[in-house]
Amino acid sequence: MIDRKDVVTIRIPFPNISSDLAVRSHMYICHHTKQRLKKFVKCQSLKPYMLANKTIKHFIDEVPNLKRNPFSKPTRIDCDKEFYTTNLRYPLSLRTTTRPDVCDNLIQMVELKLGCDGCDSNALNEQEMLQLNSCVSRI
Amino acid sequence: MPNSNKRKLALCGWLQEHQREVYESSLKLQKFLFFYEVFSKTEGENADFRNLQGYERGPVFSAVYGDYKHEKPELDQVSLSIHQDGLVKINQDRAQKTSFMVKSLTENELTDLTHMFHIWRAKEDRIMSGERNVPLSEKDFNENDEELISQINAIYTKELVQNSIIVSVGEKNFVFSSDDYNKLTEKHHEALLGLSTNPEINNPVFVEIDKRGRLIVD
Repeated sequence: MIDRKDVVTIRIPFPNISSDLAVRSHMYICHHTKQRLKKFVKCQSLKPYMLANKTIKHFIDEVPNLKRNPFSKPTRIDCDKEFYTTNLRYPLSLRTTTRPDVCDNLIQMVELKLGCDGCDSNALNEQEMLQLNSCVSRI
Repeated sequence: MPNSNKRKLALCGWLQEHQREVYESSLKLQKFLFFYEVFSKTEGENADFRNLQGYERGPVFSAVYGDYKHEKPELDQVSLSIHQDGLVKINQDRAQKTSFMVKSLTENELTDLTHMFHIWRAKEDRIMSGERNVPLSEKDFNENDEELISQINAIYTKELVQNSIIVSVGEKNFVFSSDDYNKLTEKHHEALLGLSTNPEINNPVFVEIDKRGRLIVD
């Protein structure tokens, strides 16, 4: 089972497009785990629209650095919101391969940013997760 | 004869030869010229901000704008000729990076991006109140602008630019590795058409093809 600091890659279906043809891929950092509860923050490849759009208030930008993170592109970690599941089991095989986690300093930065003004908490769609991520299972 | 200076003509010629479709948009050509000069400046080389003015949709080199609007056939011909003469040196890596970046974004996205630069924002009130021909000053290029360029450089790495191909479908610009590009099938193209109207994915849309042949969209 994954633990705090671990980074997982999750596949999400597109509406109206067969998931045999195209799926979305998201990276999440697990920042909290307690019994069945797993909490994550979302990582997105940094894009120019993010530089012009200030809708994300609390974030961390990371460049690829295997001493700190498993990212292959410059990445923005969105600390305005967290995502959680309560009934899913995530095997270690779901972790990123170049490096399975983030370093202590980065997870501490994430927790600090999340605590700044509080953050929105959103449930991940567990059914969607099970549909495309075959190694994820119900507890 | 066009009024644009030789450096700008050479850049116009380079863009015609390497990214014709970018050149065919007046706005994208202006963004190409702006970012080429900004990259030159931040990389410690000579940059040319002469005749740079603030328009509602961002910084514009007015002489090139005039040539493009009023004498396009002559601009096409003269600029291509000056580029091919090779007397004005163009940094190939920088030109490739800049044209790749401009191609990967829509006109509106490029406009929003250039509006972030202090060199334009310093005169924003005058520009947006309708004043015409507002000159922009290189002195207004500040630390904020350097930071923006640093972030843009981090996104558009040399490796990405040299090993990727952009597939434009509607308002979306999908970026594939050269290897994955060669694996694209008709069904993939149909899927890209479906994705092209999805408001939740943003340019540049990085896509990989997995072992099962699925498009994995970032």
